[in-house]
Amino acid sequence: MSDDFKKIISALKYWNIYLDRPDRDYVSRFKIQKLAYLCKSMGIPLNYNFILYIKGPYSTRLTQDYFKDPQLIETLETDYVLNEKDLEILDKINEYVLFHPITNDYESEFLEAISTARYLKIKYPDLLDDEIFAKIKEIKRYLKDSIIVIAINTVKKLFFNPEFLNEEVRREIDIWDKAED
Amino acid sequence: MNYNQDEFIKEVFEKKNQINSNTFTITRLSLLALNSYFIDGLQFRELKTALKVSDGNLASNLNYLIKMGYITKNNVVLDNKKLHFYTITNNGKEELKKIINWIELIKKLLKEVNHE
Repeated sequence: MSDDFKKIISALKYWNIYLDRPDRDYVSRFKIQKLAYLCKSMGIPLNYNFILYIKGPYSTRLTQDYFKDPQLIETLETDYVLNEKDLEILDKINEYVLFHPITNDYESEFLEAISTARYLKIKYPDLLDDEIFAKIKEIKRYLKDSIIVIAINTVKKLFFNPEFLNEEVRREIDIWDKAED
Repeated sequence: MNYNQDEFIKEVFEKKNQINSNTFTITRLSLLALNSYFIDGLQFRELKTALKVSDGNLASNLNYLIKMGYITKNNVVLDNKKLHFYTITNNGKEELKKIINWIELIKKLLKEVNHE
């Protein structure tokens, strides 16, 4: 088993997310892909490469890993010990993503929107939020506008650095908060 | 043309008979290729976005591939919505492999001509 896969299993265990075997369950595969990408994009060292086109963010190597050892997703058995920085990241994802009220009804679409928004933010750092919105809408037409707006907003919260909080940023956050309401 | 080349050309064009010619369309080949890459399975809406075809066009091509046993249609509930996703079967993988091998033969044949 790869160290990368051990980290994913440890993360799921830390969050207490028990999924069905991914070789038998589409929803498990879907969630593992999106959560693994969020972990990587927030700084947990993972060697998986993710692509956006069609199913993204999606990693073929991660797919191979969970098809090779699918039972581990069910049992969450691992000897991997997460470090303090990893745990901080997992706590943030837990607070802002997994416990977001929208997950009561739209967990999968929210994970899809948030991971896509983050991917686009990294690939095109100069894009404005409404341009990110338009790009997500173009590649994932089926996602509701409101889910995309909330996802973009959540990405900002997840990756927010307090040093950058000036008046201009504060004003923009207010605008997006109102849009979310 | 020597004997070997003669045999080779014969082989290339005899092998075409091993391929299911109805599968040999851009949309159907794309569906087989996409499903071979994304072994997780692809949702109808994902395939539609990728191939930029109408619902009717996509559905009829998917139905053909299902009928031939090359892909399977599966149900899933995502956020309380019933969706379909599609995965390739071993027969589908074999058919795609046959097509790729046949194209490889043509490529080899043309390479010989270009070298002459």
